[in-house]
This record gives sequence, structure tokens and C-alpha cells, in this order.
Amino acid sequence: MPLVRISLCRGKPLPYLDSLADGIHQAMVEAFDVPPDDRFQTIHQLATDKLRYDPHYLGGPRSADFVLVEITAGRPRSTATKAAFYRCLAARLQASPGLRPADLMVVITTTERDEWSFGHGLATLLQPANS
Amino acid sequence: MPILTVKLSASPSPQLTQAVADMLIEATERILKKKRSVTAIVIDYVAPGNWLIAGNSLVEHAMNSVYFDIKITDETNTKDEKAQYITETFAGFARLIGPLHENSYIYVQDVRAAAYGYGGRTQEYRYHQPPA
Repeated sequence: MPLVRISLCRGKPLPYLDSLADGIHQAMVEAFDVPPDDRFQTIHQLATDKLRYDPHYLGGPRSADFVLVEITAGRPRSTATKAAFYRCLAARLQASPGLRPADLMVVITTTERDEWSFGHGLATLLQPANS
Repeated sequence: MPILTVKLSASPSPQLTQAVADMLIEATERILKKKRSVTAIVIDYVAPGNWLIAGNSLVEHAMNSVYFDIKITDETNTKDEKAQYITETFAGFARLIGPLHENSYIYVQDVRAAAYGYGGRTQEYRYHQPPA
């Protein structure tokens, strides 16, 4: 049930965005214990004055290709799982679409089960069928 | 005709050796049009502590790296083919042992036909005396 928000500066062609979004989802399936069909992503292509980041803070050097991946997760994962996921994600995106690992930033936020509704006005994850 | 020498900053494993060989043979055959029957690959594993970039070991960088070169007969591949080969094999290594440090080098080495060959014959000799 993760929700993934992908932010980057505008200007990339559609195949690049497809590869980026696909790679993020594949890494989540492979290393973040997410079912293959549990895919909810938003892609935010921002003007350069709407995405501001330090080129060197705790990493970098970050370039104009910088990508911020914000994951809202439905349940907690262990520190080891998160570390393996960061590494898997960096490798996948480096392979395709060719994102430099230095240009990848990830933030994970964990929520409670009653904070998700997948439609029909229901607290989906509290329903008996999903409990 | 080509020989590839590969250095990897990874723990030795038969599975990884085979995966690297499969990836390189496929790319070498598809992009550079080299026959797999005469493609040789030598793979060395290097401890990350013995691989330094910008003065710091890969242990400190917390990343892997690769170096490989491939010797091909000069004038048998175009600039575009070599560029595609470098791009795709870098991506292949990123999939296998990534994330890779950006300073991971790939060298497609054009060597003179009169100075290169296998089986005791130069490529220049083979060019002029193709098999019947």
C-alpha cells in the first residue's frame, strides 16, 4: 500500500519517466516487500525554481537530474530492509534510466492502518476481509 | 576475436562470474557483432579495500566498482557501436553489482590488426586469408 511521490525537474522525455517509475516500483517489489500490483505513484515534474536542494549536504554532488522519492508506507520495515531497498533502488535506477546514485534521495514515512482508504469511503485496511 | 579482462569489487562467486560472462557475451555479440565462439573473458575479483577512488577505498564509498577492457581489431566497429556498448555494459554491471561508483571505467581498445591475434595468427593474416 505504499504511495510514492517522485519529484524531479521538468524536461525529461516520457521514456525516461516510464523507466524511472518502473524501476522504483520494481525495487519496491524486490526489496521492500510490496506486491506487484500494489502500485500508486505520482510524478511531479517541477520548474527549477520549485525544486530546491543543496548539491552537497550529506551526499551528492547533486546535479540537475536530482530525483526525490518520497514513500508513504503502510507498515514499518526493519532498518536492514530499508538499507537493502536503498541500495537496490540506486542500482536499478543507475542501470535504467541511468540516474547517478548521487542524484537519488529517498524519504520513507510510515503510517497506521486506519490512515488508508482505497475507495468506497471505507477504512479499507480495517475491514474484516483485510484484517 | 575479442578478449575481455574484467575487475570487479565483489565477493567471488560462481553465480556472479556466470552472470557477468552471460551479460558481456550477449552485449559483445549483439552490439559489436563478435562471435561468441572466439570471445574470451577473464574475471578478477578485487577486495573493495584494495580499490581506491579519489584516495578513498570502496569500503569508505560504500559502493562497488568495475573496470573492464575489451580488445577489438581496429576499424571493425563504429564510434556509435562503441558508445552503445559502453552504455549498455555499464548498465549491466549496475544491475549485477550496483550501485556503482561513477568512476567505473570501461575501455574499448582498438588494436592494430597486424599486432593482435589468437591461435598464433594475426587478425591481419586472417583478413587476407579468410577460411575457405
